[in-house]
Amino acid sequence: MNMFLHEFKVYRKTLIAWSLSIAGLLSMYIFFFPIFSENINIAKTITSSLPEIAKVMLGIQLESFRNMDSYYAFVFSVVLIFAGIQALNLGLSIISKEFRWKTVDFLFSRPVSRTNILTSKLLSSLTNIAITNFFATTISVLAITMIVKSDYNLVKILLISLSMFFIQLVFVSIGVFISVFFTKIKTVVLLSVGIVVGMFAMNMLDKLSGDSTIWFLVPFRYFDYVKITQTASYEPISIIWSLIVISVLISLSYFFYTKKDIHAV
Amino acid sequence: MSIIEINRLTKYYGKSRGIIDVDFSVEEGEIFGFIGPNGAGKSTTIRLLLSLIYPTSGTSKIFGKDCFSNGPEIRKDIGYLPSEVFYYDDMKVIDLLKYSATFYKKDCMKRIKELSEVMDLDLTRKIDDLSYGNKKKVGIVQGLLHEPKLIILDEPTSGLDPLMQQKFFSLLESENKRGATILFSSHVLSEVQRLCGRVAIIKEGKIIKLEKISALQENTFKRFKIETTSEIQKDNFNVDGISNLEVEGNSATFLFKGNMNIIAKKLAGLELTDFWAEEPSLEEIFLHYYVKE
Repeated sequence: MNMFLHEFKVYRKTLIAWSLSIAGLLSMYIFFFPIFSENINIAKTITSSLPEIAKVMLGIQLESFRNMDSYYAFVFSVVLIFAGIQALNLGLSIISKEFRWKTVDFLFSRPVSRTNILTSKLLSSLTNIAITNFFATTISVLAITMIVKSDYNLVKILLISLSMFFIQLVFVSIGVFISVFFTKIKTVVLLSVGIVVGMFAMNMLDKLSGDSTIWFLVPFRYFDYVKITQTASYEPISIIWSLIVISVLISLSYFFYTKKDIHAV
Repeated sequence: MSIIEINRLTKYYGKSRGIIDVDFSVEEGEIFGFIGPNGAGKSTTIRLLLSLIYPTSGTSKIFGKDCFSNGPEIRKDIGYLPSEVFYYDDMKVIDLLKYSATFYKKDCMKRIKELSEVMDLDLTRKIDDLSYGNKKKVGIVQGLLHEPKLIILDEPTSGLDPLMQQKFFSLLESENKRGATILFSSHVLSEVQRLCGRVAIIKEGKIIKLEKISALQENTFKRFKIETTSEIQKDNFNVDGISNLEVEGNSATFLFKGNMNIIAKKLAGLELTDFWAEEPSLEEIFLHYYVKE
């Protein structure tokens, strides 16, 4: 518990900043909804001049902007980039910061096992992610209620929002796994932005090619938002694959973290 | 009872040598010196004892338990002070010490106050603002606050001024009287001589000597350096006990082992402008004593 609290305290400020930004971004988009839905014809004429490729890449489906659920699904997939950066950043730094600050000797010479240390760190990250999601979802739902009164499907909105939780956990796992091997990462933020933006670009290119062959490599693709807005449910593969990725990466991280030689600075 | 038992402990970092077949044990209540030049394998051995790194082969036990399978349990009673201390920079000293104390499940506040008073450490300051020496003091308090049964010190005196070193040594002596066993690693012979009863000498990853400090003292060298007004004649220093003589114009350096009065008489006949007598480095001792054996 002491390590958990210590970890949580270290990331307190970043947690507040990220939660506010993600919730702020989502609600800003939500407040733009009336402008989009009311001027959909103007938007249509503008976008019709764009080449087909650009439309696919931007994921523009103007028809969907007529109702809040589809509109939310669209803006949500943009906000996921930031959520991804937050989570990957967290995953990368929980282990690498002890090496960067050279505090790993201090921590590892306490009477606790490495398994215990990693568990505390992971639980602290999980709490961080849970708080961010809870806050962002609550604010989004409040904003939606303000804008469209009752003209929305709460189940769909909640399912879309909850997908961020899973995707963020996948990114935390990726970050932890990377940092177990590359303990001396100096520019965690830069790396996080690079990987997440890279994955997002991969996602776009993959969408462009039509048949998605690499969806399982891109966390942004684990959930199909068009389908969620149609069926008001997840495809089982979304949850199953997310959980597989998380558990494999975390198990491997435990394995290598506990076996690692900690060299003198 | 042996507090530390090391048996043919070997560690390779890939292909490069860490330590090879290290064997020694430290008995309860001892202050045991672990001495050798930089890069000899002192830190490697200590890091193995704390299971910060894992051995290539061999075993090590502390309190009769295997270091690697019982690491967390053993470390409850170990206080460790590394040669270079690093803590969470944005924490205050007191918060760091309190955080450290939470790992031991006992009330350490009284000890923290006592120790920081002895070491003259300001608890309210931020770690980031501390000088190197003050960080070292945090390390000392942190290493002792849970009243460990075994204190492991890895070159602990670097960064401490002589006054603090004295205080630190007497602190260690009182911990030892309380019953704590101490493993003291150093490359400075004189501090090991001051504190320890027995020493293990490590060189190039191997233990080359294990003996009582009293035996070591009988064989100590002094390094002399002199400067004179006139040119020094090499033949003038053809004396038993002098070795490694180097003469360069008006100055000379040499090592001496034996009756100091012989040297004093020699020097009395010279017109000195400057004069040094100091502890030789460990490397020199190795060269002129252990290698010859």
